[in-house]
Amino acid sequence: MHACKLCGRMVSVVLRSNRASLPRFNVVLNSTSRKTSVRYYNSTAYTSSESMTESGTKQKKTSINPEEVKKFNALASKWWDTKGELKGLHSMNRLRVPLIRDTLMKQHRVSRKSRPLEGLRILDVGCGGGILSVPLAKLGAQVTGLDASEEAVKAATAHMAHDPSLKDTLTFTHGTVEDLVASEVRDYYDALVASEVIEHVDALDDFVGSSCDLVKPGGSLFFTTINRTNQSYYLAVIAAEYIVGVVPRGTHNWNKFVSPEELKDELRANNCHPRLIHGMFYNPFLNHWNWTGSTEMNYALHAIKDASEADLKKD
Amino acid sequence: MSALFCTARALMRSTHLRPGTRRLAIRTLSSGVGEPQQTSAPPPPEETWEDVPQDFYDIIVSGGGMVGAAMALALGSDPVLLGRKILMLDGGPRRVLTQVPDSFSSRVCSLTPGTVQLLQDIGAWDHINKMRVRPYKRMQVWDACSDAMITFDRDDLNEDIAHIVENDIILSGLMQQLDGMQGLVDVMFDTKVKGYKLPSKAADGEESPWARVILEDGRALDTRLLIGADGPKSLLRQTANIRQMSWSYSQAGVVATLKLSEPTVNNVAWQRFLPTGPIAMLPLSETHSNLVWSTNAEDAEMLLQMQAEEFVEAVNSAFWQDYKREAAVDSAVQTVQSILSTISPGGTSARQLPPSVSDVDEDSRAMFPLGLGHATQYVKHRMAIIGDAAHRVHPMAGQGVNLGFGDVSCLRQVVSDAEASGEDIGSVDRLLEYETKRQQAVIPMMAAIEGLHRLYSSDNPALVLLRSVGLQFTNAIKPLKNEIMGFASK
Repeated sequence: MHACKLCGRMVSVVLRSNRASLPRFNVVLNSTSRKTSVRYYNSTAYTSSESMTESGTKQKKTSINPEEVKKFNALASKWWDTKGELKGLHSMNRLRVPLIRDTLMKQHRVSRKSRPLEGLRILDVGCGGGILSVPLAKLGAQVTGLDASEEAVKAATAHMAHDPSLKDTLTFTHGTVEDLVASEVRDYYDALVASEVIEHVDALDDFVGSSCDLVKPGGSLFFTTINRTNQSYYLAVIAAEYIVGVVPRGTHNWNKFVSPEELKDELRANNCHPRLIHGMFYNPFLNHWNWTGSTEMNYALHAIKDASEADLKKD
Repeated sequence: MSALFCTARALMRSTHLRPGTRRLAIRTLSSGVGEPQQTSAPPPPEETWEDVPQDFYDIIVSGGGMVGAAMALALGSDPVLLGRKILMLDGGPRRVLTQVPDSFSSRVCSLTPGTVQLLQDIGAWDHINKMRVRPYKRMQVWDACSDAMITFDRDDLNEDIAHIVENDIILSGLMQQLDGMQGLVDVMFDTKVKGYKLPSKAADGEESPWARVILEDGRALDTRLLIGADGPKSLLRQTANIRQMSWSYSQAGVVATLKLSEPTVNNVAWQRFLPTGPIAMLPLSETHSNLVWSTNAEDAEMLLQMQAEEFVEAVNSAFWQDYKREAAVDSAVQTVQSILSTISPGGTSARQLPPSVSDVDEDSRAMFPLGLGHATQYVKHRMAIIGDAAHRVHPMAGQGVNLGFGDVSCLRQVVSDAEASGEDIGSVDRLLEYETKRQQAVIPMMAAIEGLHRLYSSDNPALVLLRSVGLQFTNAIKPLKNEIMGFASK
């Protein structure tokens, strides 16, 4: 037993050695402290067929060949099997899509019910197979799905290829938020969504900083993640991964869970103001998510970036 | 009453088994996903789903009858679905009445308040109301084998309980409203469907992920959601391999337009249970009423062949004649009656007799077979069935088309919710909500109607006694009657 460097709680050895996680961001760790910067393993920010224009929009030339399509389609079916390993993410849409939709509709004073997000640019960070990106695009938004896993991006692209209504509104990009910032994308998106992502990130400050940079002044940021509490350890890690098996083993590292206070602090440090926080609860037996009063487990957070004097002058 | 429970159980879909979906179309993938659909090279021998020229719609409603047209209208008038491409197609010609004919059609429906609300919401009720409708305030149902009877009415005849409307008028009203929805809903008439192709849920790129309608003229239409409103012999249901529980009653329904002996207020619907089946007289105007007589097939044939005077006499005696009675049953019924009148003196109203008939309209007599049908599943990936395609009941309770309109309301809500959340509207996960909700409404109704049918099909004295006493008690208990009316008014 020793004291955790982050929160000071006494934790057992088991926790410290639990480092297995999906390589969403392949990282080389210097230490367990979150404040240390990390080097990113992914050398290529884009695939060879992409090009970047000055304004930050991406132009994709598809050059997928048929044999590869079958392979990516097989992957696509893993993401898009609503009763498979990732069913929890699909059922979470029942909460997060209405949250994003209603918040943005209110913010932009939209009253029409069909394609309410038309005209808005949204960045879905850590989009995976596009589970959240697709509904947002269907609601009319111009969505860019961003993921550091090339396979996930290819799977997402393959899945949406057959739907004629998504061709112009949804694109998937291989990369990270830091990559986008590095290529001079700033103050561009009306909303940024990082759902079930920050619990896999090592340098939260860098991530939040880059995310805030990418959002327009006055724009929204949405996060959903898991709180770092005793309850979440037992339920979200042990029970979910090992006992009930609704999450693939090794997905989560409890040390990386983010408490609402930490997230709020990071946001405020970047001139973004938390506006809403709400607990979420997952029932694995019914595969059903509920809003709940307690943020001990999962929670969703909405923040708005300052429309500061300096930023306004820039426009 | 065990008949009721057996039927209910049998009608329940097997919730656990989902038969393995079949590949209904195996297509090879052309080279280059995401390339334009029309290629310049001639199509390879085995056609690819990308190369076949097709039109794409978000929703296709197959079947332009009352329920299909209402479905198309409901979807087209939903603000959430604005901008979605919706199509309704029907194999027959467009049927709109340019003017209301003087004579009445003999195919009519009794529309519940729930249905009228739906028709108002979709904007068709104004057209229908302007043409011809007949509201009625009371319904009397009684037995031929005993003196038991029950009446339904609301608020001492101050409120209507339902409307009698001719089918042609309902359809016309719906079509008129559809005409005003150019650009929101496409309509294709005289468009026969050759077949359907439905995708299996795991779209792995080798077959079309869309549901496909193949027309007789060779065109193919792809869609996210295919709604089947194509009647009791639904081709879509058969294509989807949905098992259906059905049986035909050895009964047929005879319909006709009757002329009454003298004009009357005519705001009461009458139904008498004969040993051969129920006979009902539904008000159409002060001078005319509609007849629906369910009886065995041979008698039905005879009724159609009869001369007009014979027919009229048969109808009158069916309503007025006293049938053979069992003394035991009669005395039991009288005893119960006296008990009830002691307990609630004003509670049971006197039995009235329906107006007598003097003539039947020429060419208005027709008959149609009666049967029961219930699909074990209402939805599959990218398809749903509504109306008679999903369920078919005995006309005795006047519920058949109302159940279909109930399907329309529910499915519209489910599709709208899915669209508002950016979901795939053809996804079976969400469509199952429609199936569950509707089965919860349809199965009890079907079980009740079937139960009544069996109960009243016999003249076994014990059964007659049971149903007579039961009817009397039900008639005396106002809250129970209100419950029943509520149940039948959705």
